[in-house]
Amino acid sequence: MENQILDSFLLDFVSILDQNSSKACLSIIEKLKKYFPIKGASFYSYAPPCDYVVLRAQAGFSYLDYNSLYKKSEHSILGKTLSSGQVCMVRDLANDPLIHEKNLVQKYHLVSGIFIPLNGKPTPIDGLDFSRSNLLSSDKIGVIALYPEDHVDLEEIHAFFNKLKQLITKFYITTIRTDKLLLRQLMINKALQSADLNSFLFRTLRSITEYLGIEAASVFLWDQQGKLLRLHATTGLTTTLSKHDIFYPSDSENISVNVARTGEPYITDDIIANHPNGLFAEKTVLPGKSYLAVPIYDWSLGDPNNTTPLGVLRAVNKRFHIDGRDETVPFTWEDISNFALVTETISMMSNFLKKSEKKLDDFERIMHGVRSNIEAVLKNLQHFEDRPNLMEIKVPEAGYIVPDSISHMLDVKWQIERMLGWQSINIESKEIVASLGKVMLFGQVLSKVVNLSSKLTTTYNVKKLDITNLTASGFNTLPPVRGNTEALITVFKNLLENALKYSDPANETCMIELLFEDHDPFLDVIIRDNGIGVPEGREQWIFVEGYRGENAIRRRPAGGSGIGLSQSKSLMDQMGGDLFYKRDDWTTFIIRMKKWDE
Amino acid sequence: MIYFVDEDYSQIKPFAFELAMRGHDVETLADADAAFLRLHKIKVEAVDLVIIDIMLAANPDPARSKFTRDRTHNFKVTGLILLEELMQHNAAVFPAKSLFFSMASSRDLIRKIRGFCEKNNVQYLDKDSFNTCYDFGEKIDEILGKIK
Repeated sequence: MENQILDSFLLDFVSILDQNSSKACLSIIEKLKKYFPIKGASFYSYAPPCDYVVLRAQAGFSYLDYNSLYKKSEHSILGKTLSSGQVCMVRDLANDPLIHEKNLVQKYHLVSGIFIPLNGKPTPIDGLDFSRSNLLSSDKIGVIALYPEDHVDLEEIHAFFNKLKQLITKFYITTIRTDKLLLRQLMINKALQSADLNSFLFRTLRSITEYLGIEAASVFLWDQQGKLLRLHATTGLTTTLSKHDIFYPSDSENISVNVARTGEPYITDDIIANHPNGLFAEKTVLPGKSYLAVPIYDWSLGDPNNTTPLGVLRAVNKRFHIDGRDETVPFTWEDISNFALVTETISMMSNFLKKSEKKLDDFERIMHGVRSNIEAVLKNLQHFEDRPNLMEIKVPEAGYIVPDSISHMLDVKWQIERMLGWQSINIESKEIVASLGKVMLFGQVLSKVVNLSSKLTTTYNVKKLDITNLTASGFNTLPPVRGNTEALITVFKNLLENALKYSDPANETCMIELLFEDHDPFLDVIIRDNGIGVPEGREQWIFVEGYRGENAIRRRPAGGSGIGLSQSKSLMDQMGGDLFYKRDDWTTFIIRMKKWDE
Repeated sequence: MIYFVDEDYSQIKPFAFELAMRGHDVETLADADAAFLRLHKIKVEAVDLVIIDIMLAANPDPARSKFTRDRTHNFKVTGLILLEELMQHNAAVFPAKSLFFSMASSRDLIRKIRGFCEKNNVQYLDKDSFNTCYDFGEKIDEILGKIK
């Protein structure tokens, strides 16, 4: 080949780098046809693990002339080329048993063929895989079949493509990277347009199925308890999924459950043949054939090898829809790699949207509490305007109006503090460490907090409060501790308020007992109450920010955001102490402080 | 007897006080399960009106509760589910002698409430819509007049 033509070819070839892989595979063979003396060319992609080669593009022929759009790679020249990694040459196509497209050979009078392997080890982003499966571990990517004009010197063209095959492979892999950039951009745009997780998933599925040429897809995610795999979005189906396919219990025998439980992807080229007993749920226009169920890992938890996936993405029927042919073909290497990126992005966006939904939910609850309290104060005080002689009327409730209003205002303050995640001390700035000093626990902290808590009974609808008398119990003799007064007030107030807030309505009296124990060099203050307690098995969660016990939410859905205990523990850690929960007949918390050492 | 179904007695106290000042007997039921137990067999002459909050608590012990977290959308629509249950068990009283009294702010929740109320011909009173407890008392007396 003359150098001038080669230069033009290479310059022209560079332009495919801007294209996605679907366009690029057509451009590659069109450019080869333009610069080389060939009658026509076909571009095949490899489909692991079914071991097929799938036609993606052709030049010089008609798609209608192909016997089949995909074929098993074994016993074919395409498979032989891929396995050997060498450019193969066939001099007599009509009589070679490894050539299966005899129609094409006859119709276009093809005599010889050159078969170029696209083998390579892509970088992690190009060959993004499902971490537990190694679906893409082989180096087989695809094959280009070239059918030269009759006069061409085959040896020369063979030698030339032996040199060029690496370049073509690299260029093609780069276009798969373009697919991923476009897909990620598409999904991020959908997430930004969506108010919640389900609408994001639905919009995403609609876009990616269109972009990747897939007939139908569905996303299932585990519920909070990990017991049910629930449908969150689906697209492309001719009928809605039946009731039995909207969610699956975790112990059911099912492809989706298995993928979402083990993290092992499932892929087949013929789902109906492999699962004739109704295990295949999606009803599509084309008969269901190619099927892919891949895990959605939770990348926020680190190495997905060690965690249960968030759920599963199912895709049905990769469509080949060009020039009068509308058939399903197996999922190829590119599809699997793109799906790995799609599931990773779904995981990332799901975490983001779930967090934002939860925050909105918390905000809604807290705002409800704040507004209700403010309304209660205004309405309480309004009684005085409506009835100027109210205090003279002998109604016992009238005497409670002002104290009630004060406790409502305290509750508003409490709600707002939690809404802002703000306490007297800014935990993030390590200021507290610098401001540790000698604190007289009884005078500066406990007496104030207990006094304040006693006034909150109306706020928390506690009929009767029985709280330890600090002086009689010897708290006034406690040694000083090392800490920060404001931080300790925050911690004790939080625990005492929790005792009131989560008091058991079945008990006539809310009992709060305070004890102390000396464990030199530490001093423990124990707070016990007869409230609703922490459900068994959930103890490890109570110090996690945002966690609220099932029974806590049931008791008081309007208030509390689950921030208090996690902040309290963090404050105690910073003061060199600790905060524990102890399972007991009563709800028991132990606040450990370091004694002051002169 | 007028029943308030609301877990936060302190917040409805001013309204309950207004009704008490007008001569009504008022009782508060602290959660959806307690309300169901008390009201699902109540005789029609024993109740004048049941005023139900929507974001409502349930029995703290899930094993003893009819109102699961899933069923009540994280306890955001417990009141709606409670009235549905009461309508099934005591059609002589419900929904004729009941109304919702709440302070929902999310559009989604308000849409759900309005849909339920239209379908079942139940009144929804927004806590925000009364400038004073006196106005609330007037409204309740008007509703009681119509029921009688």
